[in-house]
Amino acid sequence: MYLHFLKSEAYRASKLKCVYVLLICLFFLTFFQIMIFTKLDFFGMTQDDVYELSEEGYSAEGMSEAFNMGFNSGASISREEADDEQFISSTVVTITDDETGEEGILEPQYGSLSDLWGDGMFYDADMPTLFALITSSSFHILSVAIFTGIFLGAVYKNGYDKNLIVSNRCRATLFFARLTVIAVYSVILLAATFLFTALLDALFTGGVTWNLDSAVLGYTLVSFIISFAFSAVIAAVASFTRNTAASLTVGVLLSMGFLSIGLSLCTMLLKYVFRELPDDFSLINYTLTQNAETLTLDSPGKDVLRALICSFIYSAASIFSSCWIIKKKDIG
Amino acid sequence: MDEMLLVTDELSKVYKKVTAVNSVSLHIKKGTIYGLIGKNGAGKTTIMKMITGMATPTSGSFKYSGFDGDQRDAYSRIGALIEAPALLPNLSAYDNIKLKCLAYGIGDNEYIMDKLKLVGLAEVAKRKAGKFSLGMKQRLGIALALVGEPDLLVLDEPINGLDPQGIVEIREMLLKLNEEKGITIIISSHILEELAKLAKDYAIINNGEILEESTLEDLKLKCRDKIVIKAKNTSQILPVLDANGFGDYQAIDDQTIYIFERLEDISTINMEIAKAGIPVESIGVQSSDLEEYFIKLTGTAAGGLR
Repeated sequence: MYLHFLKSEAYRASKLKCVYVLLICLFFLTFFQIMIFTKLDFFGMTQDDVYELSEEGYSAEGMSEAFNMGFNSGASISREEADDEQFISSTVVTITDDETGEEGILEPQYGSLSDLWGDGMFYDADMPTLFALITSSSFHILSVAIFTGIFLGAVYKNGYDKNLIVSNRCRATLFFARLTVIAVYSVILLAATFLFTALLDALFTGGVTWNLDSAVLGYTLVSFIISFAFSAVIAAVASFTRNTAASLTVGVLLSMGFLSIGLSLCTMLLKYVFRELPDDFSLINYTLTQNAETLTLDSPGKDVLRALICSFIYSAASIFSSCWIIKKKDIG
Repeated sequence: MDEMLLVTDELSKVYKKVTAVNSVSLHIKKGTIYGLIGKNGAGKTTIMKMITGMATPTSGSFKYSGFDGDQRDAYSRIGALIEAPALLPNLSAYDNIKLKCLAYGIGDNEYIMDKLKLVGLAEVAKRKAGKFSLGMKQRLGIALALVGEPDLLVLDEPINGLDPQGIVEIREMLLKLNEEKGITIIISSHILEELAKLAKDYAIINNGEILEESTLEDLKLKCRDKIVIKAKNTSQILPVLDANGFGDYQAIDDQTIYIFERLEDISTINMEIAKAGIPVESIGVQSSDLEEYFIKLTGTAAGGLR
């Protein structure tokens, strides 16, 4: 029964326009992101500019260096670093007077638009790094949310289930078949992102540094688990509301992090009530969106574990509640 | 005794505080066309939803013969078109059927086209269902219900929105399915005239309750033009009728006799009964069609009934 439902649902998915529209959007989004990461030199700084600043007694904080270290790096550039080939792509955010210790923001000086076109901050980044940057953007889970909302909403809206479901027991089977299709589409999105990234990296930088290792596989797997958990949440919303608009709205709001304000307030309240909570405690860290966005190729083990546990809990709760409501609620 | 396909026992459905169906007991024979007659909101659709597993009964039970215990096997032998046809508007008629075929693990291109031919939609197989007229959607809904060669077809107002020719075609198709393939059909409609041309057994529903369950013959009998004699003791009248050559009559109860022949001889009967010294409370010719009978039974000028 499950396999028959799966075939039927896969066929239905293949007929949905959004499946293809989302892939096209993903391509263009990847295109622009790769272009920005690898080719746009926002601060207009060249290696010579950095060298000149060093000669004049300033030290400059490299953007990409700082980025890689979490934006909080206080590392200053020495003349040796400025000579380093790796640093060619660096752009400058702040400058520091070595004598007085005064800091200032370096205003970009654009002569023309063409000055922007150069070596971006991730020009030398390997392909997995670019892949991780793109998949951790909110667009990936937003795509999954949109697909889930439309895919499930279509049958709830038109009552097509009436044709398929004729017993309570089959309802959960059909739901699992649908979840499988959503999971497969999530994998397709990740695979498409991988291919697009490789293709566009080659296009913009003239070559691809693959660096494929177990960390990439692990990152991809965890990303998939998070996006599946997110789609399970949206599926639960769709099952409860039986409304495309409601599930899409919730999906978009969650993926765009609209819960953050509420969760910040809750965190403050919790910290006020439970004063022994650690300073870095925040409820936002336990949302799927936050876990998806902060996950990197070299995330520490505890972050990965937290992402996995959160995903498991959200998935289990969503699937359990969906099955319960699907079995309980009358059709039509 | 006829073999029963489905028997419901005190089936009830309560939505919050509204009782949609109240202790309904139906007896549906195998191979029959069973008509559910009732005005809008009478509970026909809710009964259909419960017996097809789409809605859970609040109380009561139902049983399909030949499927003890788990009724899942029985459910899989049901085809249903309940309320509006449930179609995916962005898919073609062909794809709508194909989806169900895939879910059932049956059918190929020929099978799908056969189903579409059966309801007269083969020529528009590739047109999107969303662009269909109401009648075409009804036909496609029936085609969907027929996927899987069901033993029981549950059709809720299937001729809604069909043009007169479409109504005739669907009626003929259902009769053919019933006669040739032995498919049992449960059909509801508020167009009594149409239902009368199809159904062999009936249940009249009002306010969620079954007022009467009868066969076509019984119903015809009740709706035929007839002389109705009301008397305190009808058993004394019967020999008078026999003596005067009346054969087609029926003693309904101790106080009522129906005579279905020689309606023009009403004065003769009256005179002969008077001659025999039997007091008669009333005598007269009564004529009613199904609609009048329904109205009489439910006590309402039924809204939505035609």
